[in-house]
Amino acid sequence: MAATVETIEQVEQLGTEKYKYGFVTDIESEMAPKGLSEEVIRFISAKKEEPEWMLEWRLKAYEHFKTMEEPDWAKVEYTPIDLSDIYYYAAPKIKDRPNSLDEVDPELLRTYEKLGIPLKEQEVLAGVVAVDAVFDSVSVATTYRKKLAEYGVIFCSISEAIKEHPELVKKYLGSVVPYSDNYFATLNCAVFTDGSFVYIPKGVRCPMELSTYFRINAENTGQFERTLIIAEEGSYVSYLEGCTAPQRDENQLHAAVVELVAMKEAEIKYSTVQNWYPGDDTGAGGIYNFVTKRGACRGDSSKISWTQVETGSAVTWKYPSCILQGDNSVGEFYSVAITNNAQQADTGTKMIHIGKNTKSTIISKGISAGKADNTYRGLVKVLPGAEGARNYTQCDSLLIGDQCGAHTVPYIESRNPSARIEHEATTSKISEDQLFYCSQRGLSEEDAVSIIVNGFCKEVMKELPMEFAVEAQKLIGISLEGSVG
Amino acid sequence: MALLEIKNLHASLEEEDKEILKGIDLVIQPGEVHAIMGPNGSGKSTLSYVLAGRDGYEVTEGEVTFDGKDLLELEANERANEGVFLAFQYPVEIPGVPGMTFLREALNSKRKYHGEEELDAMQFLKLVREKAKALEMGDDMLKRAVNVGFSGGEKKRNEILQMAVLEPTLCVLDETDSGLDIDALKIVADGVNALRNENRGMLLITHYQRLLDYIQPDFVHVMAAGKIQRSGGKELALELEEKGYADFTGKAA
Amino acid sequence: MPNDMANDNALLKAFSAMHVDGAPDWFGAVTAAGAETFETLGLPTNRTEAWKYTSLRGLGGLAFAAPSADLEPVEIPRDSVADIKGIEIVLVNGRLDESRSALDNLPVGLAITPLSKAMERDGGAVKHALQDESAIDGLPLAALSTAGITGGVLIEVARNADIAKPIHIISIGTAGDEPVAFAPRNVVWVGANAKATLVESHVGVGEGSYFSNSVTHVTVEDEAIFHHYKLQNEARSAYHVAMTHVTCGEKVIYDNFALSCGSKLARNEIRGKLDGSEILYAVNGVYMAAANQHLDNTTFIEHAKPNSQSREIYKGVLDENGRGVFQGKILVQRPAQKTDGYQMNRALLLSRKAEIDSKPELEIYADDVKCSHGATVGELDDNQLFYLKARGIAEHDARNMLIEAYLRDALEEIRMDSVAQAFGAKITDWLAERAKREDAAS
Repeated sequence: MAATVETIEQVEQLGTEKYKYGFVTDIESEMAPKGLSEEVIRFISAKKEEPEWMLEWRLKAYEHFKTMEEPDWAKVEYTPIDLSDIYYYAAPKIKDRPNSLDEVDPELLRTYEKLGIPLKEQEVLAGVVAVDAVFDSVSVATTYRKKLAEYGVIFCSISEAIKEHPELVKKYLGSVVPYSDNYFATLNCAVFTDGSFVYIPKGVRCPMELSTYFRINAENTGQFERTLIIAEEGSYVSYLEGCTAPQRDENQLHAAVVELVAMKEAEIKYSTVQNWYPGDDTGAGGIYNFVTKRGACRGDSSKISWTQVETGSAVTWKYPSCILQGDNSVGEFYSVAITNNAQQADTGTKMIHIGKNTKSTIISKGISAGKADNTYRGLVKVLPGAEGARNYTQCDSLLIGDQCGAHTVPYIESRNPSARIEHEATTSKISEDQLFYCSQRGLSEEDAVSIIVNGFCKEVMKELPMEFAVEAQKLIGISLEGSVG
Repeated sequence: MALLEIKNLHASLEEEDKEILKGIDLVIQPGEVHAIMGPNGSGKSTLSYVLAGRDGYEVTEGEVTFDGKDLLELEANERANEGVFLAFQYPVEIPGVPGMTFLREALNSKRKYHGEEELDAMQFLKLVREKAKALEMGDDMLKRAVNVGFSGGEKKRNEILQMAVLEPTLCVLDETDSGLDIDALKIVADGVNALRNENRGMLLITHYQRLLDYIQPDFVHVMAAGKIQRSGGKELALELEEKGYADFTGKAA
Repeated sequence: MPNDMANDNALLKAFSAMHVDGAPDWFGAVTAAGAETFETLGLPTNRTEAWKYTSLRGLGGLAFAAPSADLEPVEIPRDSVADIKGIEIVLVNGRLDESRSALDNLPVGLAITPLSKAMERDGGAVKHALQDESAIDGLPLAALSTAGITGGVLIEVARNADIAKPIHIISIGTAGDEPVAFAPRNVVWVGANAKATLVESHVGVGEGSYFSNSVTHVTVEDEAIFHHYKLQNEARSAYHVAMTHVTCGEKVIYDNFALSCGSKLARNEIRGKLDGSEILYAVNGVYMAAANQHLDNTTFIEHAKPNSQSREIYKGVLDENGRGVFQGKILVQRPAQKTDGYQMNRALLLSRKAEIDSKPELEIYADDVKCSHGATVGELDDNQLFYLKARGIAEHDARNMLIEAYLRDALEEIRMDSVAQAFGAKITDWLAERAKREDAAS
């Protein structure tokens, strides 16, 4: 009786509310011709009014890309991407990049408002978070630039940085992820369109959280953003990244590259809440999220910390990594990956220990529901010179339902006798006892699953900045809707 | 109107075709405290699970009316929100979920169910601290994950705290005395006694008479082989303490 | 690459040259299928995921030949072989030495038959095992071995039989001027409710190289108990690649322990299919590598039915430029609910040039399971070391004591005392050799 009503309500909700970012913004776009070619690359470079060296770098990457094959080692299956059927550049038609927020197209502002991203500096999070908003291929607005400039912090789109800070970009772009690194990264080098650039000068503790919000809007487009963050000696920055896309039946490619450089005693904290459109429950549509993220702890006692909550995308292929070059440097990876319905995720990290007394921590929580597959794949490598290196890895998987899969594939390589590496992994399910206990206290089954899964992920969630944590918690609940009962 | 009325209740485990409850009849009026005593395997815990709506049990015959509603038609969480509370014999651990968060979710579920405003974090904190004080539970215990790393006594106190916060109209306490030393038993019993009032009914399920020294029942029932074999006042408990369950099971318990 | 192809062909030729006397017609199809599969797959490189850490490139540079048709008249190198009193079966360069093998007067319930004779009987366990395509599918070295089976035995333990004395297969490789390649093939069938123990000693005589590429099929029927222990103590220039296929029925107890200390390069691979409920399956081992040695232990455990348990603990020490590889995978199929799987690899690096590569893997499709794995790489425990030193023991001695204790602890997993002792002696030998090296260096 009551149960039937509830079920109907649930089903109704699923249809409409499941992916609440699925709307499309009606805005006129300017596109590059479809497909991948030298002309398209020249077109992008020209649109961005790039200097010659940038174009040359792109073309070098493109030449290399033509010799490469799409990798197939990840435990994901998908319809191959037809690179000739993608628009590599789509930008909302605006005459010039606005000088102030007042000049930003109100339609765009409304879009970000709907997404819950404050582009107006006076809003709730005012003074706490500065935002760079990337819409399809271009950055449409960056907030708080003036305030940050007072501290010497540069926070702008990478397109602007190429023009305004070429010496920095030239020095660091491709220094962590070289143009020949891997198939998707090399493609990104050739066609990247926009992304964020952050420079924190020596000794500066960035006064607010920096954030980029990525939005794919146009049809048949790929998003190839490029982010570069440089933290000079003794500096600190916390950076947040969020992403959504409209609900479409086709698959869209997102192939980003993120490079982080931390100098002596610098610290970079990079957090991601990834909520690209995951496709429907039959597996139609959704984003292919093939991302290369890597940080170099160049200086002694530097630290890079990756935190990710991955709930979206049809297919995720992503391994945020740390190269621990400086002595006593620290790498951290905290990850929650949730796959439901037909989603697939193959994600993890690489910790490369080069310097002495380098430390790394890996905490990975994989949750698989529906017919989804969730794989943790990680490498811990200790080179001969990494005297006293330490790694601790904990990978826990949770299965919800008996049609999904959870996999753990760690690679552990050590060449130093004083190194200590510990790896632990477990796989379990939500027990009937836990579910009954929660429902006896009045919680619906969905709420019970949500609260138990949030508990399971707690070690990772507590690493998220406050502003993100609440949103991420809700997201976990939403991602698992319809997974039980 | 009776608070709880159980009529000829038969139930079995879904997986095995074995009847465990073989015709239970029981009426609890508002304000009454009933104790069900019985040897192991008599079906006491099954009765509590069937009342709370745990999956895996099949009611084959009979009916249960709670507050005028057909209880068996409701899902477990709906029964809880209607006011049925089960204090577990073995409270379940939920790693990573702070006790406060859990309890707030539970209370707000109930409030939402009854169309009331949800409490915010501050209002809730105030409420819980008040109730916790009486049970000698400090903030540190409330912050820890639900039942994780709790001693037996702490788990049972935590159950009573939840009961105090959720203010149910029917409390079913399943072997609440098990695993408690005498000091912990006193604290728990005081907590339960403080919750007795003219609107609330209680059903204590226990193997030993000991608990009933601290929580005085109005009625005592002896359960064996899936049936209530005898009912009486609290003197029945003392008689059982002396003679054991042998009369009801045919062997010494 | 053409060079690789040439190497592949040379290897295939060395193995294809062998044959088993008096083999029935179907056997020709089996070896042909082996050759074809190997040709398709080729000799694996580091790009093959299953061989990521073990390169067989060294094999290509050596011209292997099939062993001569006559049995080499070699003494059994008793110092190298596991010291146990067992029912002995002797293979020399992969050929069965019938004169020194116990084929008659065996305990009631035990039958040991030369592979060639067993084939003639047809239709039995041998045919079933050899025709099993899954034994070579995607497994290039097992396919290569199948292309040139040298010889071996069929061991049958009858239903309900309890064979107290261990069966001991001694496989000897002769390292002469011309390196030989051979492919022993043993088939073991343990009947329902039977109980038996098999020990394998793989040893060599002489200096120089040889290549032993064996495949063993083990079928353990319902409720049987089978202990399976292996000592790999090949000549130090030899190559040893061994594949063991294990299939377990309902309520079987199977436990495997592999001690590896010989050879230049060894790959010990055990693939177990838990095709029943309430199985207790254990694969454990110790590996000890010194100069120029590469020891690979690869295991695959497939839980196909509900309610079984698997346990796996490997421990390694790597000295000088020795390299250890551990790859373990537990696959839990959808029907295998209530599976309980545990896997652990521990490695100690004793030298700055040593290396360990570990890949413990879980692939799980059933939701109600308890699976965990772990891996540790590291130094000796500082607290223990300090404790010993505080009791007056010199650092050097304290270290050796702890290394020995660490390795010996693993022997607890061996359920037969005599085997644990025999294997323990090999650990002692290895540590003594290491101590000698250290003395020489200081």
